[in-house]
Amino acid sequence: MSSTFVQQFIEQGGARSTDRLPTWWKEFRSSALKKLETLEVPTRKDEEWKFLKLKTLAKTSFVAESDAALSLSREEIAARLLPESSASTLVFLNGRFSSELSRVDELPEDVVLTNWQGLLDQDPGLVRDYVGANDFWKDDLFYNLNGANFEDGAVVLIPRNTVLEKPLHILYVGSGKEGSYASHPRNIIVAGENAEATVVEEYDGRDSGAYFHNVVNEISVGANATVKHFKVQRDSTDAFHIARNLITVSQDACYDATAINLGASVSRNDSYARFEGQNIDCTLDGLVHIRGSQTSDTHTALDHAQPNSRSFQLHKVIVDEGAHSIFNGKILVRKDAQKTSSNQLNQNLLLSNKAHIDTKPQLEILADDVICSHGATVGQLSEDQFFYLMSRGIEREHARALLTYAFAAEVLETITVDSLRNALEAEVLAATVG
Amino acid sequence: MLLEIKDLKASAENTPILKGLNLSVKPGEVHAIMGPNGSGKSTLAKVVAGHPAYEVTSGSVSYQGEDLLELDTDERARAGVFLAFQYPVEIPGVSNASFMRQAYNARREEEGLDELDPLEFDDYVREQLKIVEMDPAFLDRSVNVAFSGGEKKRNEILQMAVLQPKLALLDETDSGLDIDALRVVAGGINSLRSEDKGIVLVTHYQRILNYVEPDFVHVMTNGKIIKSGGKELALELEDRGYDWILEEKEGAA
Repeated sequence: MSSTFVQQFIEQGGARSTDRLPTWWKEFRSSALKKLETLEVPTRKDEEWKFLKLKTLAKTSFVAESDAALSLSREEIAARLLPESSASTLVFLNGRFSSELSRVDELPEDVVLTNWQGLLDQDPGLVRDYVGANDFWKDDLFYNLNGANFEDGAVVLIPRNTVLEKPLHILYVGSGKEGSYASHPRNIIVAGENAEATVVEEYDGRDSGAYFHNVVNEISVGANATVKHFKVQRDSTDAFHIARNLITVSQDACYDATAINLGASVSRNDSYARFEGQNIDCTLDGLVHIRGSQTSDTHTALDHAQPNSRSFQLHKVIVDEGAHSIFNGKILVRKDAQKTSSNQLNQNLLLSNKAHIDTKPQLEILADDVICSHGATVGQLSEDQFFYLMSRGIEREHARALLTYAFAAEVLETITVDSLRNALEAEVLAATVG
Repeated sequence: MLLEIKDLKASAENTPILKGLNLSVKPGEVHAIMGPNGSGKSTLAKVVAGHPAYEVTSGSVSYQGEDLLELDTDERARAGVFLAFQYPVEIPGVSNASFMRQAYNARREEEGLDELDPLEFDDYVREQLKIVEMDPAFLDRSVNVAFSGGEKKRNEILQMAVLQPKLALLDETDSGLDIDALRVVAGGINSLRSEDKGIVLVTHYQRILNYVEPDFVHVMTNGKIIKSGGKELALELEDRGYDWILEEKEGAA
């Protein structure tokens, strides 16, 4: 018998309608439900969960999205809309798709940008090959909670040789005000051969009250394709956010991701990238900026299975007040993956004596002709830099904000969507002024 | 009096470095402070600018008649005190232009003037760039990051030109410069010279004084000024070194 926490999601999953679902989806759901019977909330004895406390999450009971419906006007979400994506935005309110707030038009022929329920009206078979294809987390509780419960999310299919000039924006707005809901968004992003796209995935919290975003992303980058993926998580500080990003990259392709984690009470953002070809470039950058009693955990695994590919990772963390950040970055270079080049750096900035950092870069190298480097630093703002700025007339508090911002800037600069980058830069600056 | 230092004693980590120093600078004057390594020259400049690593144990520093030691580092800067660093600090992620604009606006705000927006400041700073013959590309680069030694020193003089301090302390700004860069830096210092501003030039070498003519030259050793004179004293030091002054002093004592 599973714990109350798991049981509530077994019940919710079992109660979800299967009327419109294709057979393969029904089977996927029922096998996840079955798997859940055998799973428990991980404890600190589990190596992968050693530092992240899930006690508060496990004690909270959640209702399904439909019992906490949120309604917002366009004006109320205007500040979060990206001008660049005025014709390519999907909006979800408390996990449910809002066709009123979404805007999809002027996309090149055969590009699919829709939600799962919309896909059921078209051809759900289009995504069949991608759901569950990368099964890295097949025994993971949260992956299976999602499998048993997902009803909606974004579906992005970019056909071969198609280049999208404008970024796609997937916006999840969450509020616990209508009830503590759990939502299990599943986002599918598929870029065909030679395709190019930029995707902004954003979680935005408002009001107080707990809710739970339990995300699974399945991303497939075809041969010689390029996908830029920017994730911004600013869920409310009462919320829980857990995300599993499954990335499969093909020959000659490029996948560049930057994950910005600012919100949630407890957040976990894990990525697993599998290299299924040679000459691949893959970047998993990250910025975590938390304060108060926030906890944020990032686990990544870059799986070099074949030769001649490159991976890069810059993960920066700023912890203020009593916040706690965890990073575990694994680089796997399998036996055949000769001439792999991999570079990983985790830099942590402690702004308070009560803040806490756990970091564990890990290299597992089985090939013998590779260039791999990794490192982690933990530091405070430098007094020399403070003195320099203050000697020019800049007040200490302002200098602190400027230096903190400067630490984060290197990651923010990787964001190629101007309005998003500018907004984040302003936010990071504002958040550091005491 | 612009700056008046009386019997100043200061320590770093409980080690006394300044041991009863006196110095008076009037508006319009250029003072050169020379002396062997370890004499406390740089410490003097840093203490006046308010470096937190040094503790003033006794004595007084007044600036335009006010107690300078009562002010924090940033307050001193906004009141018109400027230190050109011997080793300028790198600040990755902050652009040179944005850094100087914020510093300049802090000063303007203090003086009750309107802040300049980035475009207005750009016009202003480009004029100052000409003084130090710097490429405008330096404005977009992170503060001092990947600058050569000479570029860092020019950048200090650029900041000085932008901020137009009333009292400029230049801590070995001439060290490590080739002759072309030295000429440019000296030109920048001379452009600041005016009858309402004072300049204190801390230097190890007489060379810069060929370009920036001092009104007074002071020799510092062991935390005190032990001899003062006019610009001819610098030439004598160049010829004879410091030992004769030390001997002269010991002879007198």
